[in-house]
Amino acid sequence: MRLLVAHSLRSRSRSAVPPVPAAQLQGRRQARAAQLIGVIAIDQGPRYHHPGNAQGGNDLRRCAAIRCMGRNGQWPVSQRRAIHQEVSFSSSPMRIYDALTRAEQFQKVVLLSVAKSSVDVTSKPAEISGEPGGIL
Amino acid sequence: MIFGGYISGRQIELERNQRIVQAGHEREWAPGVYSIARFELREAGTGTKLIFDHTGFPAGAGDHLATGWKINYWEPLAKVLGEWA
Repeated sequence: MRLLVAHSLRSRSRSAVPPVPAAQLQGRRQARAAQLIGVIAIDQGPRYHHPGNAQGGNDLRRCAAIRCMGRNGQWPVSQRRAIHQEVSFSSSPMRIYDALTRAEQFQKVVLLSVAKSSVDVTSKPAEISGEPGGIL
Repeated sequence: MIFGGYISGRQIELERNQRIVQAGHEREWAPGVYSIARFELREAGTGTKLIFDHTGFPAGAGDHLATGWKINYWEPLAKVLGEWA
């Protein structure tokens, strides 16, 4: 898109135009420069993309935020291929383990998540198996 | 199935109070695409340090996934545990 716009500006600048005073020409150049900078600035702004939905806005807060956070929105293309996070809790490992592996507890997490504002999380409560190989 | 069915998957490895490894698929991902999420729980004083790693998700999804874990897991989890008002 940037190339197309820049090309159109260049084409216009090459067209036959009547001679103009230097001051006015400088003003035009400045205006064009500002216009081009503006186009580039827009073009270099965040690029939003989500593989599941090419439509939608680019406001991150509008997106249905689950693990993915991008259900309805478009998101910046990320080069990140792995996520590493470390979080400290004052609760014991047992409490955290249970909250993440027991469906009724995890549903409480879901109901407090940002995702609940954009996804129906109540008609299908969490199902989480406590056994390896089990479903979630 | 969690988050109203938006995410489905399997428990891969469960080491009680220590480790959870899950394969997860989001509804909007291509069929057959699963990522791996690993939760390591380590005692830290009277609390816990959760060390989390997530790999295998579709290209381009990393940044918003990273944010998603924070606002849909860690923050509400802390509230459920009574650590946040």
